[in-house]
Amino acid sequence: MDMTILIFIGASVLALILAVVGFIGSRKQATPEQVERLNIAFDEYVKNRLFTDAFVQEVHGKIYQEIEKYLSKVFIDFEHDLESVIGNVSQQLHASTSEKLTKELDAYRDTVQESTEYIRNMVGELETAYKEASQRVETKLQEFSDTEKERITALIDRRFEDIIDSYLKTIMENQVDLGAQRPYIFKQLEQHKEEIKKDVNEGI
Amino acid sequence: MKEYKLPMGLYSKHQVEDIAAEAAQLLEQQQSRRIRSQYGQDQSSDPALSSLLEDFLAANGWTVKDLAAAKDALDHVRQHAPVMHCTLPRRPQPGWLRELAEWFRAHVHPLTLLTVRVDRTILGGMVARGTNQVWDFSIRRMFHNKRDQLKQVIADVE
Repeated sequence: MDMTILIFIGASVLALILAVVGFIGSRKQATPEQVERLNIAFDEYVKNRLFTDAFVQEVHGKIYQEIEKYLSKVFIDFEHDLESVIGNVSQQLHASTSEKLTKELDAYRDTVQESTEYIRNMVGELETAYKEASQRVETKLQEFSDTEKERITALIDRRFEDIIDSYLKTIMENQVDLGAQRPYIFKQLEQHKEEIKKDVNEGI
Repeated sequence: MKEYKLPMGLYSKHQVEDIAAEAAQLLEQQQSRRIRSQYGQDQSSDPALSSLLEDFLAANGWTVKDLAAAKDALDHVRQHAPVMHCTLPRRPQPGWLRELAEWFRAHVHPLTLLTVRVDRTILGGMVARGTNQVWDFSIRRMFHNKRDQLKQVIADVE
């Protein structure tokens, strides 16, 4: 700080101390008029001798200059700091944003992978269930087919003659032509001729 | 067994029984006529014979005067001739039975007689029963014999 200002401040403090000391020391003795006069004299002294207009103006000018210099420096520092802060904040923001986006993307990717894996597992289970069901159905059908085949075969075995008789009697009811059967009957007789002859002659 | 000849029209045991009865009746009539003629009371002519009896007499070289021999022959045939019992799906025509009797007499025995029974359940063909055996030439039997083949066909169906 400038020396002039220091001197000014020192003188002002001294005068103030003196005035206070004088005031305190004369309180018991001085009358109000005296105090008034003393104050006025002090004010005039300060005004005319210490704080002249030129001095005050100079001091003001210097204070302004100092304030300006200080403010300018502060402003410049602030500007630097602000730029730095903006840069840092921007970097942090960018880093934070990227990190957050990366995390979100990773989380999204993880979710997609989990969903894909879940769907793949579910499809696998469905395929297995479908194969097992198909196998069961095929086995049941085979069992049913075998059972039905055996049942029909047994039924035919038991009622073969009834079935054939009923069927042929229906379709041959009025179409039995012995004349047409003559070749068949005589052919059969010829084939068994010796057996018949032997049997008949044994009975005579 | 005596050697008689049976006309082709005489093929069933029933026919033999019928003309044997006819011959016996005629013999009785002849006897009555002969008695009555002794007293001059018989004015009737010779009785008419059935065509079957006439054929039988002719086949064996006999006339109506040989009815006694014919009667004995018919009784003998009725008692001793071999009989084939035939089962058919329907009543056959007489010509068809004559043909059948002719075959048996040509290939089995010359006095073979037939009995005929109708059984529709045999469906077709014929079942012949001799003395101790049965020959089943029926269509029912034919299907029965093919039963295993039919069962196999059904069993092979997937």
